[in-house]
Formats: sequence, structure tokens, C-alpha cells
Amino acid sequence: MLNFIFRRFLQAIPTLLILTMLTFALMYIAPGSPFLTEKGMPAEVLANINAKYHLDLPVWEQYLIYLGNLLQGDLGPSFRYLDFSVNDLVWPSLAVSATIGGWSLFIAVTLGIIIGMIAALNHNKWLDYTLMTTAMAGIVLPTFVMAPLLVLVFSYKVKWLPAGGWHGGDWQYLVLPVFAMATHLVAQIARITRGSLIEVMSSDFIRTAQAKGLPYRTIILRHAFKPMMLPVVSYLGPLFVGVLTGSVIIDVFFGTGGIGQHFVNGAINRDYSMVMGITVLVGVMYIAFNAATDIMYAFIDPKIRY
Amino acid sequence: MLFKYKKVVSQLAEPMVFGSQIIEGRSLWQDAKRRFLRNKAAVGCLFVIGVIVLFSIFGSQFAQYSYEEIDWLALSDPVELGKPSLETGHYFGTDNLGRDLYARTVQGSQISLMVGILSSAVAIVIGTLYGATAGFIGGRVDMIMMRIVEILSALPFMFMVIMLMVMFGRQIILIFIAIGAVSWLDMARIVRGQTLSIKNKEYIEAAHACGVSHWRIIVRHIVPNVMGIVLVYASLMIPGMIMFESFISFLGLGVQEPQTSWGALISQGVVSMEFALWQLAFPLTFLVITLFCFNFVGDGLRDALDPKER
Repeated sequence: MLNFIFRRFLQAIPTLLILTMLTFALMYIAPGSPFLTEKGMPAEVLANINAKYHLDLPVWEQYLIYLGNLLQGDLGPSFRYLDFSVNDLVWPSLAVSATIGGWSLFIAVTLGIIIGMIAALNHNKWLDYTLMTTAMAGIVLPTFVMAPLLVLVFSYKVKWLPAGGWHGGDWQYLVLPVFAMATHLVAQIARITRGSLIEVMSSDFIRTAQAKGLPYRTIILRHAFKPMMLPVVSYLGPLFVGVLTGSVIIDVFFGTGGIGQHFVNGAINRDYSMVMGITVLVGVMYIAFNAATDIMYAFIDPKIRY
Repeated sequence: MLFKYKKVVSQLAEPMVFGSQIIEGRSLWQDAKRRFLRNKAAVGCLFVIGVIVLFSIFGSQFAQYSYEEIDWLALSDPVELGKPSLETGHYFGTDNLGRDLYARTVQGSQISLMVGILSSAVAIVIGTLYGATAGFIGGRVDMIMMRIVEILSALPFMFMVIMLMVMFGRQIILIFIAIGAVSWLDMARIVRGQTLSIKNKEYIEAAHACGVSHWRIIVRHIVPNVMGIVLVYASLMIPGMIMFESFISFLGLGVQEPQTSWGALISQGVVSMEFALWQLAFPLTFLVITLFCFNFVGDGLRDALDPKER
């Protein structure tokens, strides 16, 4: 197991290198510059600024400088918000995103599994159909539609909850973003759980357990639960991606100040170091999450050995 | 009981005489078609998708305005005069700029469906050929090809696409390329797995023995036999693509004005939903119904083509 984790760690290095190279190259060949203003500025000033941010060096040298700083945990200065480093800007917003994302994941997994199990155990009855049609609705209603609809109903019509903002993460400000993000994920997990449990319940070892006369609850919880979880766990990787992309919409719409908003603004402002910083950060999290999923898989499924 | 044959076999098999009855072998596809047609929800959804496609092609014939023309009267008071009504000819009302929402929805449907179908097609062609090649040739080539897929799939592509759109301008062709290039990876993995399981079958060996080239074996023998799973995956990929395009357009990075898409219309509708709910309601209805139907058709196809269901 340790060996496997170590191998995954080694495999992540070339991936991250390619990721940084790709992003860096994209920004280099893209037209425009962070310091091109409409009024323009004297050539000497521009040259000074370019020199300060190493923009006058050849691109491979810029890349090496960036990589050197990155290895020391320095994501560089923001090109847009002067006096701020990317580190200053990214970490607080990461905390916001982690709060919203964490709650959404928690709700999605618990609620999704419960709904999916209820549907599967009432297979082909009206409860199953109702739940699954609702789940399908949750899947086809994207986050960027859920968010405005929730605001329309809960902030505009009945005025229970604020329409946006963060305020240090008070629960009132947390409810709508978390729900907007979680709906889609709950629906996905419910569907996967249902399909998986239906398949598990028709397998031989469940029939054996029933033949032994075990109580229904024991069969579900002791025998069916673990194999049921396999496809759910393998969905955790895509789930995490859903949380990331969801966060772009959530941050733009609710103004919660999470990490997604920096990405869009960074790209629009051509804040190169910000875009690089977030790409690296997201890349690292993504790889780590996928590795964690694989490791969890090994714990659940005894057939898998690394 | 009727005999069931694999497609390849059934083409060779003569109708069998069994007692006084003539029994014909049924191919995998005929079987799947029969099962699919029994699934009423899926057939109904296929019909609805057909209607929406027709709407996007011929809907503009019924529009009283073009999608970029501004109705200055409606512009003066979009909340009252821009309401959906048959008399003014704005069946779906107007947007805040006085443009006819019906014409714009037709236009948006064209773009959204086109993005969904074309970029899925790109992803499927690349993914299928790549996966089939890797799986069929095997060995070191396979290893290198799949390592490339692995590395590419570890990149946060959603963000790469956003960046592409921002940096190179909002061109519809870029959306196709970007989305298509991102999403062939899963397809390649699935097709490779399938290819591995059929590449040692006798008919492949026979083709080898006849001196058929690698490329022709892949295109003529392997690809048709993995088509079932590709089809299922494609029908589930199209709604994903439509959603993705809408997501990009919602962020204001998608299609360029005055062209529009469902996502772009929704994002404009959201701004004015407090006083002009129809601006959100019409494009949203189209998007949701389309996604709903594609998902149902996909589920239906999966059930129909799943060998376990036989």
C-alpha cells in the first residue's frame, strides 16, 4: 500500500510539469498583456514593469524562474492586484470554497446514498419511479439554473435567506450556495447507488444470506452495503470535479469569494500568475483526490491489490 | 424459441426451417431495436428530441422578427410591451433590448444542438479510433498511448477551456475543438477495454490470415463491434456537451453576440427574472426538456444494448 502511494506520488510529478508547461505556453501565445491599457504608457515605464515581472526574458527562462519559485511554495505576485501576492489572495478564498464544497459533498453523499437505497429497495414501485424522476430533474437542472431559481424563491419571494455574500460564513449565507451546488450531486449519487444496489441484491451471496434466514436489515447493512459502495466511491473523482466547476458558478453568482471567481477574473484580467497559481493548485487537488479514491477503493474491495 | 446470433454470424446464416416454421436468426441490432421500441419513455423522448430539432431548423419560418432585429417599441417598455403575446408577434416575448425571444430561442437551439452533436461526434471519432488502435496493437504502443490519456485526464480541463475562451476570443469553432478535444479521453478508455476483449476472436484472426491490414481490421472489424457501447455513451455525452456549452455561455465566455445559445439566453434571463420571468422560462424549458430526453434515450439504449438484459 505504501509502495502504491509512493508510486502515485511519483506519477503526479510529470503530470504537474506538463500541466504548468501547457498553461504557461497558452498564456505566452495568447494575444494581449496584463499591462496593456487603453491609454497606453511610455515605453520606458512599460519596459521597467516588464523587467520587474521578468516579462522581458525568453519564455523558457520565465518558466524556469516560475518553477523555481513554485518549488519554494511561492506562487508569485499578482499582476492585477498590486501589493498582493497570489498566495495572499488564494488561501482565504480556498477556505471559503472548502467550506461550501465540504458541506455539499457531505450532503450529496449521505442524502444521495439514502435516496438511492430507498429507491432500489422499492425497485419498480411508485416510490422508485417518483424518486428517480426527481433525481433526473436534479441532473438536468444545471447549477447555473438552480442558483438563480433558489434565489428567486428564497430571497426574492419569501425573503428567508440572503441572495449572496459571505459574511464570514454565517449559516444563512451558506445555505443557498450549498444547496445550489449539492442538488446535482445528490441526484447523481442517488442514481448510481440505486443501480448498484439493485445489481448487488440479485447476486448469489445475498440469496444465500436470505436462505440462512438473516434479518432483512442485516442483509442490507452487513452484506449488501459494501459492494454497493464500489461504484459510488469510483464516482468520487468526478464528484470532486463537479464541486470545482460548481464553485465557478457559485462564486460568480452568489459573490461568496471562493476560488472559482479568481479563475474567471484572473483569466479575464490576464493576471498570469493568478491563473498559473490556481491551475497548479486545482491540478494538485485533483490528482490527490483521484489517488485518495483509488486508495479507498482498495480498502472496500478485497479483490484489488496494489 | 428463436435463435439468437451475433451480427457477424447472422449475416452468413441461412433461414432455418424448424418444423413448418421458417426461423430467421436475429441480429444483436434487431434485438436491441425491438427492446428499445418497447421502452415507451425512451421512444417518447426520441420523438420530443425530433420535434426540438425540427423546431431549431424550421422554427425561424414562423418568426415575425429576425433574431438580431430590435423592436424599438418593445424596447421602450420591455416589461409591459415585451410580454409574450400573439398579437405583437413576439410569441415568447422580447429580451431587454427588444429583440424577439422566439427568434432568439430558435437560433439558440441551433447553436446548442450543433455544439452538442458536433463536439460529441469529434470526441467519439477521436476516442474510438484512438482506443481501438491502442487496444488492437497492444504492447508498448498501448502503454504509451494510455499513459498519454492518463496524463491528459489529470488536467483540470474545465479551467483550461475557460482560459482558451478568454485568451483566444469567443469563437464557436473554438468551443467545438476545445470541448471535443477534452472529452475523447473516456471514450478512448472504454473502447480500448472493449477492443481487448474482442481482438482474439476468430473473425479477427481470419481477417489476419487473409492478409487484411491493421488499419482495415480496426475500421472494418473492431469499430463496428464496439459500436453498441459507443452509441450508448454518445447519447449520454450529447446532453453533457450541451450543458458544458451552456455553462461556458452562462459565464459570458461562449457564443458571440448577436448569436446566442440556450446558456447565453438563460444567463440574460437570470438578470431580469424578477420582472420578466419569461426571459428565463422559455430557454430554460427548452434546455431542460432536451437534457431530460437525451438522458432517457441514453438509459433506454443502455438497457436495449446491454447483453445482460437479454
